[in-house]
Amino acid sequence: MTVRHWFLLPARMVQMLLFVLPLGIVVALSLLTRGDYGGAEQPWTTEAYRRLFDPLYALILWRSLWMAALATGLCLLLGFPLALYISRAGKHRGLLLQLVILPFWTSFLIRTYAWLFLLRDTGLINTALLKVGVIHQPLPLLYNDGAVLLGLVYGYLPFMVLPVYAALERIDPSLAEAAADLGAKPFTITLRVIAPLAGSGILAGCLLVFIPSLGAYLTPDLMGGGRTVMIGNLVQNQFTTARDWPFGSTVSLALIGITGLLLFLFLRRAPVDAL
Amino acid sequence: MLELQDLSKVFPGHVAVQNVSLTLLPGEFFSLVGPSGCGKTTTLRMVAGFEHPTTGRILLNGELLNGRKPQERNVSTVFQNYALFPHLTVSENVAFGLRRHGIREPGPRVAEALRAVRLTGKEQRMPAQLSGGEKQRVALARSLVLKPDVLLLDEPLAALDPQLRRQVRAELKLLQREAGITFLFVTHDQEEALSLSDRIGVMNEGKLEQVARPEEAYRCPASRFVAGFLGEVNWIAGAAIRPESTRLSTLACGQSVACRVIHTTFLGSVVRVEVECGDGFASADLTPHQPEFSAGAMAYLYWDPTDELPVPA
Repeated sequence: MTVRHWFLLPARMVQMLLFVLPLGIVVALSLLTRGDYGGAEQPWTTEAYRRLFDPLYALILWRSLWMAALATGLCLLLGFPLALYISRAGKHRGLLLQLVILPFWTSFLIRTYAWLFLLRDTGLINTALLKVGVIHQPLPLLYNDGAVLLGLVYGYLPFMVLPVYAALERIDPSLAEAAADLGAKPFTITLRVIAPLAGSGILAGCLLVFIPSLGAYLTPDLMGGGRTVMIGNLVQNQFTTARDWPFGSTVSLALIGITGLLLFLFLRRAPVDAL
Repeated sequence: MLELQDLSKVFPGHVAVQNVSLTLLPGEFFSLVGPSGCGKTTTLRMVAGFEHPTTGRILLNGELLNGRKPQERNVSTVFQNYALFPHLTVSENVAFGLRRHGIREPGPRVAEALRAVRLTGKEQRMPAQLSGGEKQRVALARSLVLKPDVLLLDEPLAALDPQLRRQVRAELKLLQREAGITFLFVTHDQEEALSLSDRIGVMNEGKLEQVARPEEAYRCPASRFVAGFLGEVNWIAGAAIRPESTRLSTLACGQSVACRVIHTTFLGSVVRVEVECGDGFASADLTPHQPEFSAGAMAYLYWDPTDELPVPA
């Protein structure tokens, strides 16, 4: 073994212990039969994979993809103008960026709970609206798809803003001036010059929002009201209440597979420095 | 016709442009020249609409431009770094302005503009695939295709190799004649300004010190600054003389100044002789067939009084 190999050894061990081995266990579990009280036992079978094509689960997968895509689209819609605004805020840029990062100082779980306190029937918003007399019944702000979407957008917006901001920052300001000089209105400049040139940042932001949204578990669990709304909750259910570890493992692998495929399709079209 | 009337621009803690008044004639090649930070680029940017004048007025063909957005002015800018859109092809770059002006089929006009700058055949190239000279020509085509009343050029030759610069200079002049468009050209290179322009305006510390034809500004500078900026000046015995008008002799005759030769440099067409006289240093450009002066030798400077620059020494 060369010196180079010795130095790579710790990295290889981490890779084996924390990545290859657990993934191997998941693969093995997916091919076993479910135990009566959880766990998995012999014989080997591909039964779990066959169940994956049950229309019920296809629907959950479709919902998850749809929710993740919607969250990504909303994050882009909100995040791009925000990033553009920050990149043009002159000396306040640093402060505004800090504000975008600020939520990370608190646990994601706690921040999600904070939303519950805001949105529930006896929460801040409903109480205030009832007191003022605008409404007479609490609005159903929580435990629906809208609430899940809100949670996803809230949670992952910074992952859109930061890479888009970084890309905008690199654009030569004289390009926007040149476009204005040639007669382009501000909206056209943004659409035809700024957005295409920030393309790599937009792509990176979309991936960074879409991937965790697709596998999201905490947000749909807390804000969706415990119903199996997304694929992440399906996996959790299989390992807990349903006690079907093989199927839970299979769904996890399907999620990894879909994410990998989408990543591959995206990155084939974009330069590697997008991330 | 472009008119700048008493134009000033004040940035926080810094007066960039101070009371500049100037009238550009139709079809004229006018250069604003001065050292960096003299306010020439700020003046250009105010005409383009990227900066707003603190006081003063800008008129184009009698219409007030103050307060109009860059999109609403029939002027166009060629940027120092060309500012080509890196994600668009050459022909899409040139078509960009035409499309913004509602022309749905820009093809023929793009082709014509690219022919004028000799870029036919490179329509589908991306800006990154072009040489510096080609980029500059795309930037010119992109602006000229819109037929602006005034083309604003911000140091368009600064990014080119010195060799290429001379060639591009000649092309630029030719293009301006053919297009018949007024050029407002900004440069810090006095040689560029003198060789290209119908008239030049010399700026210093925000003020326009002189507006004149190049020969006139060179021969009859309005101030010591203009004299020194446009060429070298010998300040000897109360007179200001250009090195090429300064003669050197081994004999004292008439009104001459004694000096000692420090150094001679062969420059091709002339020999530059640097000397030290009682009140400072001077240089004289001599033709190579004149007698040689070696370092340390005594010599006498003399000149034709009509060659003296009319500036206070």
